[in-house]
Amino acid sequence: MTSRTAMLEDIRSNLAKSAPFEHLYHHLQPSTLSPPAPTPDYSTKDLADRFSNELAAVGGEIHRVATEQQAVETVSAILGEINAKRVAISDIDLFEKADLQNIELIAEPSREELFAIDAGISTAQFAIAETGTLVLRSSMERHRLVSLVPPIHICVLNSKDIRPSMYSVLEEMSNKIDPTITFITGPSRTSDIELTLAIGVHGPKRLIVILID
Amino acid sequence: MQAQTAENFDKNARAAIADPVLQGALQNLARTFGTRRKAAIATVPDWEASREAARSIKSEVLGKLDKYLVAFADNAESNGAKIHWARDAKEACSTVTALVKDRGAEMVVKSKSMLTEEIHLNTALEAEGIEPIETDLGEWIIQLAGETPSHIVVPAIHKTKAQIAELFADKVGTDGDAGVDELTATARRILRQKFAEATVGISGVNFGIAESGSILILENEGNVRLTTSLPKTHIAVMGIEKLLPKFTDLGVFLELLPRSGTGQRLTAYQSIITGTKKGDDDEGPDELHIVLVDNGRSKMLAHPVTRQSLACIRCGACLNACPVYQSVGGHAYGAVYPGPIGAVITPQLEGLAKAKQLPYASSLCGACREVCPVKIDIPELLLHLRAEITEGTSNGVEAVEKAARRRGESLAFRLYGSMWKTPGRYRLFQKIARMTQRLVVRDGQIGKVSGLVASAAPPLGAWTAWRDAPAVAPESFRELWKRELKEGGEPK
Repeated sequence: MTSRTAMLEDIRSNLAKSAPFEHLYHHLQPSTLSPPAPTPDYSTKDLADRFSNELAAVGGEIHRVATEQQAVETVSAILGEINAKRVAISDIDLFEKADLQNIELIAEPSREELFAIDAGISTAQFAIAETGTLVLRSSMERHRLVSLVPPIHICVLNSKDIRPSMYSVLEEMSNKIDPTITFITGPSRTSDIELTLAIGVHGPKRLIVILID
Repeated sequence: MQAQTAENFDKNARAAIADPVLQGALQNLARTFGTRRKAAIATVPDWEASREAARSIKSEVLGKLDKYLVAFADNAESNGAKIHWARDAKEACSTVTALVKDRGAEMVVKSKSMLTEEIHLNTALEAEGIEPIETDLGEWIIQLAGETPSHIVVPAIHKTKAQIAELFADKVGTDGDAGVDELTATARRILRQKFAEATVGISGVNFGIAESGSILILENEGNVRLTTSLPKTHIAVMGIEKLLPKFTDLGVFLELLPRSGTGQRLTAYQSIITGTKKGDDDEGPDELHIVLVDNGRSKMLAHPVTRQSLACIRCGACLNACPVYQSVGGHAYGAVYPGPIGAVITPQLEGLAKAKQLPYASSLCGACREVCPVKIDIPELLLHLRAEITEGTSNGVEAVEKAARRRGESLAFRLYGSMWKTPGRYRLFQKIARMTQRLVVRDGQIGKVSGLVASAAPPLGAWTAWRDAPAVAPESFRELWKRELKEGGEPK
């Protein structure tokens, strides 16, 4: 008998010994399963404001711009400020028109290169206003390493992609689930020493979002 | 420090209470997480409805666990993952070590997983010459110190900053007076080297989705993402109870878990991984192995009370709320899972004989039940296990104490019962009590009974050692009523 068969048989025989679940949970109606999320009727502007406030509250930095061109300029300015030499970028063509002097832009960094990079740049496919969360989907963009390994993650977000809640984002993605979906809420953090907050333990120390309104 | 065992809970607890450093840490934990949790749950429109929903989703899964497991396994495999089935800790450990050895890895990076603690995976890996590196900061501290976690969410909560600085100075050569930021930066620097080298990463799983074969892991640090993104092989070790039916069911659990655990509305990162990478263009490991572990879980399904244990999502809220945990900390429980949930899970996983003190490590105040995001009735479970210990009721768990020893107790309760049976008897016992209590009453209270009385009736001494009871009044209400009527006029 394989372990699979043995385990499934154990489960079935133990379930058969027990009272049916309805007896214990009779007060629960089937309708309470996955309650529909209360989704207030936010405007795009409301959502963008709420997202910006929540992101700042968890230690993220936000720059709001009007156009994609301004987003590129802002990113360039930030890279200049931090004196970035080597920058990793996901498979997006954000910088085709940008003038990035003295910066080496690495589109597909190898594992070795990754650890010696000053900042990583990606976009986000969704964001969640209630919690200031970015949602990155691997079927749209190779986001996993550029948003994780460099000490600074710069993320470009379009305000039309902001949703009110986690419920609404899950609902929207449930038809086609990507190989990897990453939710990011602020920079990497830990409270493992005396519950004292420390930023940037394993992931990025700074999370900078450029929001195109 | 010698490893503490569940058999010695009483002794461990006394030592913990006498440790001022630990007491300070525990107070900090209860205060900080208590306050943060309250603030975080206030942001949910209907917290009770979410708890109800979560509990009913878990009931749905557990009631048809065979069906959902098969669906999960099939869907994960059709997305490119490989599923392994492990009946017990031994099979789970041998499955994982074989996978690591076959890939020629001498070192693995690990993210925090209570299940791998439960099955003692690190010991099994080390026995095969494989070095496991814990990468969660708290777990790494514990590993450097050669200790075990004392909390399921913040494993190193029993250690002070000064102790950790000393430990780092000794093991990795930092300054003896390094602050939190410097200690954290040191961990980042050293563990990055390990991430860069590792070819196998081992993680736990918070939720598995039956309809898609996805797994979800929550974290704050980023070490889970590194563990599951960089190495060529990712091995996820998952308890069979971790399933949810639908992808959208994650919504309610992501609302409940971080708020209950750390008082965050959402932790910094959630990774949802569905199978392996698609094509050379994609990122991530080449292989994903999911090891499904029973290790005593399926037998909890056999009784309506015990099967609640499997709804647990390991948030740790019951630890933070429990007056016993707050006083004795995690190590006193002498087991992987401490606190109220540990007091009910440990005896079921390891056998009542090994942990018979744990179901008594509670005042049954119900704080755990109140905070539990999936509404597990932990006091009910504790009473159920206590009954198994004293009565030997059957649920595949061997009774450890037979009724014989309890004959005296049973006689005492029968006597107590008989004195309430008729008004005459009640009045008689009242009179006897008034006469005899003189020996033990101080300031209107029956305090600690000692001396002759205690040696004549030892249970009375034990019962009153920690409990005061009001003395029987010199005149009962009925007597007072009668007297006043007799004296004339309306009773006052």
